[in-house]
Amino acid sequence: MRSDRETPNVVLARGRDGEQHVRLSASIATLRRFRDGGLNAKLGEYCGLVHGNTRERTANGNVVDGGTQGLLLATALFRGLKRPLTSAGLDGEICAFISRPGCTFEFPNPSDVAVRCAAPLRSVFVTYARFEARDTVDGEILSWEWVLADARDSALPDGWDVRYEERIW
Amino acid sequence: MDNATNTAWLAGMMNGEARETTLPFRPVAQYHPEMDCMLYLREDCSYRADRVDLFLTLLWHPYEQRAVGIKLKGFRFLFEQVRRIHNLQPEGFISVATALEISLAGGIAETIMNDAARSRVVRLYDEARRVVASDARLPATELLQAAA
Repeated sequence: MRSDRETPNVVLARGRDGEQHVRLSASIATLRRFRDGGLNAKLGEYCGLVHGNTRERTANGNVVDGGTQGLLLATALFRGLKRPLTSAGLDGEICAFISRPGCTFEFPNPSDVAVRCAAPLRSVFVTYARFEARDTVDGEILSWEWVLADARDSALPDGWDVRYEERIW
Repeated sequence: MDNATNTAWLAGMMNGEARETTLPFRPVAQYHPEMDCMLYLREDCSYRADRVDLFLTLLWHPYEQRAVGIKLKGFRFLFEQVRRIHNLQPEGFISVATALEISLAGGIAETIMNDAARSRVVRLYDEARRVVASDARLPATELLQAAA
């Protein structure tokens, strides 16, 4: 199962129960901001690691159906960012999906498809989302980034035990 | 831009069909209201985020040990401090370096740290100072619109 390329701003993920699949819409504002800033690496991460169902140009120059299973690859879900003093209500609602894909994606040529690159060193991929059912989706993806991995458990972000309020699965 | 256009743009990226190209990258400071953070990047790359304290995250190059940017979290709070201290006008700009200094004061004041932890934070703030260009700034209008 993968996210549908026909709906490129809708991403499949495991829900809070860890079993049922949910549909999350990507924040268009976030994507536009990355596009307007020329942040092609952030767009590559979205296409290849968050949504996942992207075409890619291989090392021998062919364009193939590639990418990854995107957010379905997540192996951990946390709730609540510990950032006291600021927007406490909002931070408590934000969830973090953690995955460890073996690669990342970039757009070295902004008018071409993505290319696969080595994953950043000693890192995990974190996608921030908020569960809030509306229309045909179950929540919204707010942002995403690679984060340094924890020295005790390389599948989790550094300081995961003090960074989030609770682990959901 | 309506939703259909947005979807078409994204579909073009994923399918390799004719699409709008992105703008050329340049060092950029952006406010992201969805996460209440300011992202400052000097290179277009898949950075590695390194949480320093409540306010600062240092962004490292994906494969090299050098900083390429910073993320300041809880930026509305920092913005209010800058605005109060500097009597910021709506048409003005927020200096990224100034916001960084305020985050240092706030982060250390709010966190109980042993000497080793404090030393690490101070060292990483020094790294952050080096990566932020002296003329890096963010239009106040973006923050004011988000706060409205």
